[in-house]
Amino acid sequence: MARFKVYVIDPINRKGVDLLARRAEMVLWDDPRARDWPDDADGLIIRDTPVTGEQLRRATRLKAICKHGVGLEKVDLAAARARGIPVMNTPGVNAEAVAELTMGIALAVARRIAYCDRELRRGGETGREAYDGMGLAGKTVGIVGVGNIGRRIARKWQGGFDMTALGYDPYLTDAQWRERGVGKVARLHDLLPRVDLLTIHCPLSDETRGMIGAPEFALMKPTAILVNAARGGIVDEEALYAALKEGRLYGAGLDVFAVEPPRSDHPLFSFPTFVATSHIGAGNIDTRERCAVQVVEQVLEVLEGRAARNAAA
Amino acid sequence: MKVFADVPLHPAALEALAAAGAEVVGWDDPRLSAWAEEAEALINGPMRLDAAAFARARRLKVVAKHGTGIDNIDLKAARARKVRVARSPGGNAQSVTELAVGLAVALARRIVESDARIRSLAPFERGEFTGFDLRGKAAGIVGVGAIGRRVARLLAQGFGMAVSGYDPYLSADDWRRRDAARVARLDDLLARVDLLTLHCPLTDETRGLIGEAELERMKPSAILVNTARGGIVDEPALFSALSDGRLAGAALDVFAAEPPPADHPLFALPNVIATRHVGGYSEEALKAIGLKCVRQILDALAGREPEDAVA
Ligand SMILES: NC(=O)c1ccc[n+]([C@@H]2O[C@H](COP(=O)([O-])OP(=O)(O)OC[C@H]3O[C@@H](n4cnc5c(N)ncnc54)[C@H](O)[C@@H]3O)[C@@H](O)[C@H]2O)c1
Ligand SMILES: NC(=O)c1ccc[n+]([C@@H]2O[C@H](COP(=O)([O-])OP(=O)(O)OC[C@H]3O[C@@H](n4cnc5c(N)ncnc54)[C@H](O)[C@@H]3O)[C@@H](O)[C@H]2O)c1
Repeated sequence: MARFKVYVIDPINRKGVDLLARRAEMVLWDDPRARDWPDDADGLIIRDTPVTGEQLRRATRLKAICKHGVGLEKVDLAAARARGIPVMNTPGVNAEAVAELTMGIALAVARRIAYCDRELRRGGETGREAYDGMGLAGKTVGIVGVGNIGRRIARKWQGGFDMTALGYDPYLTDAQWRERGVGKVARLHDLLPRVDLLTIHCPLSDETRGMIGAPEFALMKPTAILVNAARGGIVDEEALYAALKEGRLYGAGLDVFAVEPPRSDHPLFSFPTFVATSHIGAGNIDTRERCAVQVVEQVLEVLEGRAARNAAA
Repeated sequence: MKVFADVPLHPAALEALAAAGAEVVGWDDPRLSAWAEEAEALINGPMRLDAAAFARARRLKVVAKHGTGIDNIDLKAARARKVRVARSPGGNAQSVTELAVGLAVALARRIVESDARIRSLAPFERGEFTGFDLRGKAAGIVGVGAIGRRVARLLAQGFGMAVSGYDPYLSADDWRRRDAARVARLDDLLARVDLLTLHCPLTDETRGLIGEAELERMKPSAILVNTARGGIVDEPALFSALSDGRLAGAALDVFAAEPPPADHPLFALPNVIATRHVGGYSEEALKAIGLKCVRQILDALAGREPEDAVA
């Protein structure tokens, strides 16, 4: 049987590479031929590298694309559809990692952990009063986008912190709301004034770009915390800056920015209750192993004639 | 009635004292140094209360400890002078719990390190800050009291960790009411956990409890959190374990000497997180504890038994 040729043009964990090596011919990201994938790839595995319509039109052998992770905004989906090539991703694999990261960020903001560490190391503020924080137990968390990650987050804050979980997600059925155990709030603007922690877990789309901006901050409690580990662009960073500056929000943590990596002189860095991480939501050894194996399995399944799992419509 | 406080008090506590007609000398008031001569009641934070202090404090009738750790108070001397001492267990337990868990996740996911790197001008690679999931891993709790039991519950129910505990003073019945499986020997706990978090008091028995031999028993991939008391962890031994890669990371809210100096050797390491003994510093805890201290003082001065008295 002719071996399929699969290009892995962005780095994936060794466990996935080992699996692929046993089942297909492969060209890896550090091989100069990797950029010529449109010439003869049967399968394509990507992470961040964009896939253009022009490349897709040239890639006559291509039968499957799978992204390691979620979010397919860098692939020309219309061009893939025109050619009948399924574009898949690996949802759910990193849900635990992202959920845990957002909780860690929320706690780091609430208790000024990063600020305190920074001050101690530079010999700055040693008065404990400067680090007076706030608790989260028993409060209310608002979840925007109650999908794989959002639903997991809800269970964690409920189980560990006895928090009340409310959510805004226009695409869930009533049965899904019940099964997810999250209180449905039909309008975002009704959710905002009720929450002590707002955590964003929806995709970036035309609908969600700038979704959390000045009018939304105006509706939130001045004691609330915002965490975004979904996608940059959903939160309007200038409006966030203004809200923090004017004391209309307690603090915020961002794993994702409109422009990444964010500049070290980003104005948000002036606040003690601001924490930034470098898009590390899924950056975790457990996830990488699971994800690399799954991305390879999904591509091989399609090449071997089975139905595509987790494909974009 | 003159009340001195060597810790900042929550506004609600100050209001309650004012309503009771007390004159308050606060932690940032220069008159605080005269406390021994003038105070009838003291709300005590870090200030040492040794035998000499009690001998000087002739008008003192009650000390309300703003917190739980009373290793700074000579209780025998207090009893000899008939000064009531009460502490406020439970009041900041949830607050310390949330800090301990926040530190654990921050270590596992290298949040503080990532934040610091973005702020510095040093470039970084995406994928550089690889961490690990807590879910499905093993946590060990040393001292499963008011705080330790909350941490156990949070890690088990919020993060799906398998939690074990070491606490030689709990009864079988106590263990049944904990979300932690009992491990009889500390050494056995150390070898099996991915996260070790300390919640015992500082006593002669626990001073240096986590030293070179104990760190040696831990997995090189494990992380350590100490929000209990400085002195329980041997800092030079911790430094060498962290710098040799025999331990993945450590977060300390408490140090042998506080505040820790900026040139503390541990601060040279990226896999360390340091906070400033702020376990009890949350709005909720400060309010609950401040109000409790006020109740204890008013009770003692009125000749009633203060809640949670230890002398
Ligand atoms: N920080 C990271 O490293 C990282 C890693 C993985 C995923 N993510 C981000 O997290 C997001 C959530 O991931 P997931 O796996 O839970 O995806 P998912 O598709 O399972 O869930 C997304 C949810 O958002 C809802 N949604 C869509 N439009 C919405 C809108 N306008 N308002 C509110 N809700 C809306 C959907 O109905 C769905 O329930 C992803 O879109 C991705 O951008 C970030
Ligand atoms: N970081 C902070 O700001 C902060 C704030 C409050 C308390 N603390 C510290 O946290 C510690 C725990 O507080 P708590 O309120 O849970 O106290 P607690 O008295 O309720 O619990 C302490 C537990 O430790 C156990 N213990 C005693 N000796 C032990 C030993 N040798 N080995 C193992 N376990 C032992 C006890 O049996 C008890 O169950 C306090 O002693 C205090 O030092 C720190």
